[in-house]
Amino acid sequence: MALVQEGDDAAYEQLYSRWHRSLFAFLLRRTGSQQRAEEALQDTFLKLFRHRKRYQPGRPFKSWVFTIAVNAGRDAWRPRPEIFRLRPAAAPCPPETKDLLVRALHLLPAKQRRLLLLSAEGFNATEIAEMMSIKPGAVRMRLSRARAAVRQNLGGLDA
Amino acid sequence: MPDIEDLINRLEGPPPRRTTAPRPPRWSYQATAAIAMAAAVLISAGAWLAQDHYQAARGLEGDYAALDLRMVVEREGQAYRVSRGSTYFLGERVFFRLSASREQQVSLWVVSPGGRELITVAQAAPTAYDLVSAGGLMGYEFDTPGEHSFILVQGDVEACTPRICPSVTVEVR
Repeated sequence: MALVQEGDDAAYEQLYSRWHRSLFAFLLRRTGSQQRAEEALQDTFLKLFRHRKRYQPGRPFKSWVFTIAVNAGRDAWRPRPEIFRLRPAAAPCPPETKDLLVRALHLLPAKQRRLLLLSAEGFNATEIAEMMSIKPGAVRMRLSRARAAVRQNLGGLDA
Repeated sequence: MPDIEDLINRLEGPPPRRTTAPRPPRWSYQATAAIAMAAAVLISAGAWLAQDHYQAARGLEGDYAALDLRMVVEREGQAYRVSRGSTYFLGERVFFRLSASREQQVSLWVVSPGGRELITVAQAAPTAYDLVSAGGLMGYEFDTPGEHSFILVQGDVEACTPRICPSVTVEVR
């Protein structure tokens, strides 16, 4: 990132190569649409470049770039569950889980959805609070509500 | 019931179709001055043409092909013509329709308080078409308040090569 800050094109390309897949996966879940996710990804990297001087080297890069991505582009009006697949796990899920999960995520208020997706990316409440400019307590409360709402929408899958 | 975050992490989709980083803008001060002058001349010449539901701007013909740039804005899922003098808002997105009197490579630029940015290089032809990317209609989302000028230029140069380039200027709040 230090090289990108100096305007090094090759470093910018490397940064894209290193991060675009994980950011796109996040944006795909957030927007629910491949087109919107691609627009948001482009928006993210253009903003990253435009505001590269604002990045403070001591700060974790992942937090910084996801802070840009979480606000980039727009979410879809209607998500497209058919573009997703659910990676198999040890405990198999019913086949309808994927569609229900995509819809459940998009039934959440946008802010709750973003918090939950950041949590799924591995950010803790303190980090999310800093990224979203809210208090850690508010993050925990909203995350709890978001998980409960998703569980409720997946309720039919309870054993 | 599985852990929600774990379930979300297992949700996978297609990979991004774009494998190279979007290019940041590279403009010169001369190009800025040329565009500002071209925009001023264009406005005073009254070269704005409204066609269909798009706001249209047409470059003058000379040694160069005549270019048309038309724009619409998306509001709550509907498309509305971009009207000169109207106010637009942060987060709103505009779309573009291009044509040229003969087949031409063209570049679409935006000059905003956020800087100068190449939106795309495209092939324009006498039949007007909506600008698309691999993912569908290509839009530009307003993320900076202030004046935004969208400028259509022949070729892939950064300057406004012909004396007059079609452009559309709007105010964003």
